Amino acid sequence: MLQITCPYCGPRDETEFSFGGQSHIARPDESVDDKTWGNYLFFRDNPKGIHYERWCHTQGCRQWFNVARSTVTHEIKAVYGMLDPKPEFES
Amino acid sequence: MTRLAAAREISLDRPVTFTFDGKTYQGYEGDTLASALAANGVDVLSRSFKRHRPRGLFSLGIDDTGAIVQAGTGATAEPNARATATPALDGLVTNSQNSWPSLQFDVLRTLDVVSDLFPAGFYNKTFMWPNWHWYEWAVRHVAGFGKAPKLPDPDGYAHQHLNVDVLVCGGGPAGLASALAEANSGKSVLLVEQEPTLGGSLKSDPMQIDSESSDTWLSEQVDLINSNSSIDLRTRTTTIGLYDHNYALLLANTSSNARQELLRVRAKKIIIATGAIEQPLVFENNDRPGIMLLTAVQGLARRFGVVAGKKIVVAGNHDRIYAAAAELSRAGLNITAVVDARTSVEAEVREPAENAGIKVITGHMPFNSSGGKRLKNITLNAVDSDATMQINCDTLAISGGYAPAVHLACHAKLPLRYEDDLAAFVPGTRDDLTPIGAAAGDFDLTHTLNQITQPSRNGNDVISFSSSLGPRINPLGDKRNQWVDWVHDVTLSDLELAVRENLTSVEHLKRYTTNGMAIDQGKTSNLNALTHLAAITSREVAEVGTTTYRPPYTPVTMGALVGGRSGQFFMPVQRLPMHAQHASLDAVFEDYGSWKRPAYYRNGTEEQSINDEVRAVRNGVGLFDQSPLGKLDVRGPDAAEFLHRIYLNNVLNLKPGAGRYGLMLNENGIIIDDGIFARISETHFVVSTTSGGASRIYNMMEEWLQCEWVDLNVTVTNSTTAWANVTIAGPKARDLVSKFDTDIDLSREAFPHQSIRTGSLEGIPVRILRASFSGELCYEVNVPTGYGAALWDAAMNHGDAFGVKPYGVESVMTMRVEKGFMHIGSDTDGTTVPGDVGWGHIAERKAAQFIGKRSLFRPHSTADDRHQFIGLEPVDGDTPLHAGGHLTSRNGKASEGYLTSAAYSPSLDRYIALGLLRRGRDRMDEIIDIYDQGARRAARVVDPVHYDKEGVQLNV
Repeated sequence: MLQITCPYCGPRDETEFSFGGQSHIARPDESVDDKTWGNYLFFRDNPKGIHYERWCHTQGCRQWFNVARSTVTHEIKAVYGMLDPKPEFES
Repeated sequence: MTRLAAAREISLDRPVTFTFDGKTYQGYEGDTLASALAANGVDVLSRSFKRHRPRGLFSLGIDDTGAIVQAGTGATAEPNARATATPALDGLVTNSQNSWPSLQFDVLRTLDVVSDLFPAGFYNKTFMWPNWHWYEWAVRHVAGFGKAPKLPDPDGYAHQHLNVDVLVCGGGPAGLASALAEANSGKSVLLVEQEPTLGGSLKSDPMQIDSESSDTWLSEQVDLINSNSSIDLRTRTTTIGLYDHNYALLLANTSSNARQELLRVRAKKIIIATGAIEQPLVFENNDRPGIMLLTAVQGLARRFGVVAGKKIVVAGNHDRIYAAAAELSRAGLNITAVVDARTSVEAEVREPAENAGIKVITGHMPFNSSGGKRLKNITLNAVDSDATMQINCDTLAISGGYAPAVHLACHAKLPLRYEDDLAAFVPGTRDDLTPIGAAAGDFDLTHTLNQITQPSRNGNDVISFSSSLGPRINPLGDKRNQWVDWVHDVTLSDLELAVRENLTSVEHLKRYTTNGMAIDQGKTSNLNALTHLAAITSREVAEVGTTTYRPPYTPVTMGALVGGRSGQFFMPVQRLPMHAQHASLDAVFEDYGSWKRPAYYRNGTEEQSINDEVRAVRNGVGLFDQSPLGKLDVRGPDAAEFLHRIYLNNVLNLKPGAGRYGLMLNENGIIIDDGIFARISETHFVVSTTSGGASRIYNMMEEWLQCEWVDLNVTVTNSTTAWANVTIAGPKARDLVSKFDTDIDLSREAFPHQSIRTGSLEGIPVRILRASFSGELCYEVNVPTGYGAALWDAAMNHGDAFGVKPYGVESVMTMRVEKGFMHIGSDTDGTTVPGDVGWGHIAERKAAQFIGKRSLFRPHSTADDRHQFIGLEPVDGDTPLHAGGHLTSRNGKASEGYLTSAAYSPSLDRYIALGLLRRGRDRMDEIIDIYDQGARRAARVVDPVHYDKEGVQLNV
C-alpha cells in the first residue's frame, strides 16, 4: 500500500489512485511503420531501478501527475507535474 | 491439579468450565485453553498431519505445534485454533482434530507403521494409476485438519484506519520502554501486543533490572503506559504484516462490536519489538508429548501456576538454561537435571543450577525418547564418546537458543544476516523502521533499555550470551524419526531425500517437504531445516538463506479482511431516481453493474412479463428508467475538435440540435464503447456512454486532455447522476409526450430521429433526445434528478389512456436483439474492430486522425477472414439458444466464431440470436452448427436485423 503525495491534495493511500504506466512516451504520428507503432502500443521499459510513471488521483482531484519510483524499494523519489521534465537521479 | 500460588495471570476466585472432546474440565479466568488442559493433565491434544502421531503442548505461544484444536461449534466454529491463543471461556466447547474414531485411539496411526511409504513428496509419485480419481475420495477424507463451518458467519467484522507517529509492535520489555520513550518525546504511539497481557519474555523468564525484579519493573511500566494519553494500547492485537511506506495490518481480537477488527495503520516510524522464538533440539523421537520448549515449562509455572510434569529435565545448548532451571526449581518444580550439548561450560554459568541441587550433565545431547503417549525416559549420548545414559523423566524442557522473530522486518524488506553466536538470523535497520531488543538479536536487556533511553547506537550490535551455542541437531539416530516440523511430520530423512532429488534451494526444500508450511509457518522448524540443508550440501547457513517471509504472521480470517463489505454491503448500492416507483409497480430488481434496475415488472411468469412488455412497446407505448445511461457534457471552443479525435465518426459537421451514433476505439483499434453524441450548440456536446461506462469514458477523456492534447480548450463533466432519464417508447410515444406542457415542438418535421432539443417541460428544465435502442419511436426525456419521480408519475398518468406499460432491462435486451443492435462487450470482444461490425467504410472515409485509426491499417485488422457480426436463426426454432456456443460449419471441428446474444422474440414468435462468425457477411443463408455444451444445432446465417429491417418504425 504505497503512500503517494498528490501534488494537489497531499499524501494519500495508493487505493485512491489509478496507475497510468510508463511516462514521457512520445506518441508517434500515423506515418510510422507497423513495427514502430507496435512498439508504441505494446513495449514498455522494465527497469530494476527508477521508473518514471503516470498516476491519476481518480478518487480525489482527478488530476494526472508524474512519479519517479524505485521498482526495487518502492521509494518514491519525486512527484512532478504531468508536463514537467523527467528529473535525473544519481544511481 | 492445584495451581502454584505464584500464578500471575489467572484469577483463582473465578473458575471457568469448558469441554474438550466431550469431557468437562475446569480452569480459571485468565487461562488459555492450552494452560487449562495442561493443568488438567491432558497430554495428547492432536495428531500430526501425515503419521498421526500423538501431539502434546510444545510452546505457550502462537508457534505451538501440538495444541491445534477445533474451537466452538456451529456457525462460529474455528478450525485449526491455537489453544495457546484461545482464552478458556466459560461454556466453550472444543474438539480435537485429525483423528478417528478418537484422539486416544486413532485408526490412522497405522500410517506411522508404514511411514516409509509416505516420505516427502510421495503424492507426486503415487495415486496416478489407473486413474487418480479412484483415490480422490479417500485422500480428501484423510487430508486436512479442522472442519470449516458449513453455515454462514453470523458475526460482524470491522476495519479501523489509523495514522500514527509511531507503531510499536510488541509489548515486551523493549516495546514497553520504546513506547514510553517515544510518547515522552511528544509522539503519538500505537502499542500492540498479541497476548492479552504485557511483558513478553519477562512473564516466563524473569531477570533483574536495575537491581529490582523484573516483575516490579514491569508493573511500573504498565502503570506508566496506562496513564500516558499519547499511547494507544491494544492487547490481543497482532501485527500480521508490514507493507510499503510503513503501512501495517493488525488483527485485533478485542473489539466489543465485532468478532475481530482489522487495523490499517500508516506510521511515520515503526519499532519492531517482536522478541525471539525459542528453537527446538532435533533427536530421535523428539516429538513425544512431554517434550516441550523450556519457555513453555517456564510460562506454565509463572503465568498459570501449572506444573508441567513430575520429573523435569532441562536440555539445551546455551548459558541461560542453568538460571532458568534454578528459577523453576525455586518455584516448586522437580528439575532433576540440566543437560548441555557443550562440553566445557564455565563454572559461574553452571552455578545457579548446581546451587539449586540440580545435576548438571555437560557434553551430552538427547538421543532418543520412549514412553508411548507421554514421555517416560530420555536417552542421552555423549558428544565425544560412545557413552550413553538414560534418565527417567516425564517432561523434557528443550532449548536450542532463541531466534529473533524477523518476520515483520522481512515483510518490510530489511536485509538479514546470519550470526554464528546466535545460530540465527538478525535483521538490519532503517531510520523509520527499527528492530529492537531480542528481535534485533540484542539479548542483553540492560543494554537494550540503555539504547532506548539514550540512543547512541551505530549500526546494531548483537549481544548474546557469553559463548557460542552448541549444536541443535543430534548427528546420531534414525533420521526418519528425527522431527524438524512437528505439524507436517517432516524429519531429517525428508530433507535429505529432497537433496538427493536435487531440490537443494531452500525454497524448493520447503515446498517439496512442506517443512514450515503448516499453521505455525515454520517458526520452530525453518531454522533447523535450513541449518541441516547447509550441513548436507556443504554450504554456510548464510549462503543457504531463508525462504521469503510473507504476511500474514499468524492466520487471519476472511471475515477480518472483508470487514463490513459483505452481503448487501459487498458493493456500494446505486438506486435509480425512480426506484420507489419501480418497487410499487412490482419490479423484479437485478444488479446491472452497481445499479439496481428493474429486470422486468412482475405480471405472470418472467417470460410472460417480458413478452408482454415487448408487445406493449412495439404496439403501444412503454416507460423505461434509463437514468444510468452515461451523460458527459463536453464544452469549450475545442469541444468539436476534441470529440472528432475521440470518435470514429465525423463530429465537426454535426449541426446543433442533431445527434449521431458513434463508435469509440482504443489505441489498438478495438471498439470500447458506442452511443449517441448530440450537439446542443457550437461549443456544447452531450455524449452518451453505455450504462455503467460513464466513469470509464470520462476518465479516458480526461487522460487525453491532461496528458496529450493539453492545448485543447475543453472541459468534460460527468453529469450522469444529475439527470433522471424517463424513456418513452412505442408508436404512441409522441401522443404521450404531447400531453405535457412544453415549449419543444414535438412534430415529426421539427424533431426528427436522432436529434436533441432543450427547453422546459411543465416548467422544469428538460433535454429530450430522440434515440432508440428498441427500434420504436422513442423520446429520452431528461430532467434534473430530483424531478424524475414526479415526471415518471405524470407520464404514467398521461399514458393511461394509451395503455402505457413500464418495461425493464430484459425487454430492452430482447428488443435490441430483434433489431440487431449490438451491445459492446457482449457482441464484441477484445479483438473486434469497426470493420467486423460493418463500420469499416466510415473509418476508411475519415481523413482526420482519431484514436485507433493507425491500428486499423495493420494487416491483422484488415485480414479477410475475421469474425464478423451476423444474425442467426435456428433451423428448428422451438427451444432457446444460449450465448457462448461456438459456431462451426456443419459437423465441423474448428470453432469459427461465437453465438453472442440470444432471445425469444415475441414480435416474431421464434428464437433468434446474434453472433460473430468468420467471414460472416459472405455466408448469408449458409446453414452452420451452433455447438453448445456438447450438442449441435443447425442455424441459418442471416442479417442481424431480424425485425423491421427497413427501420420503418423509427421514421415517424
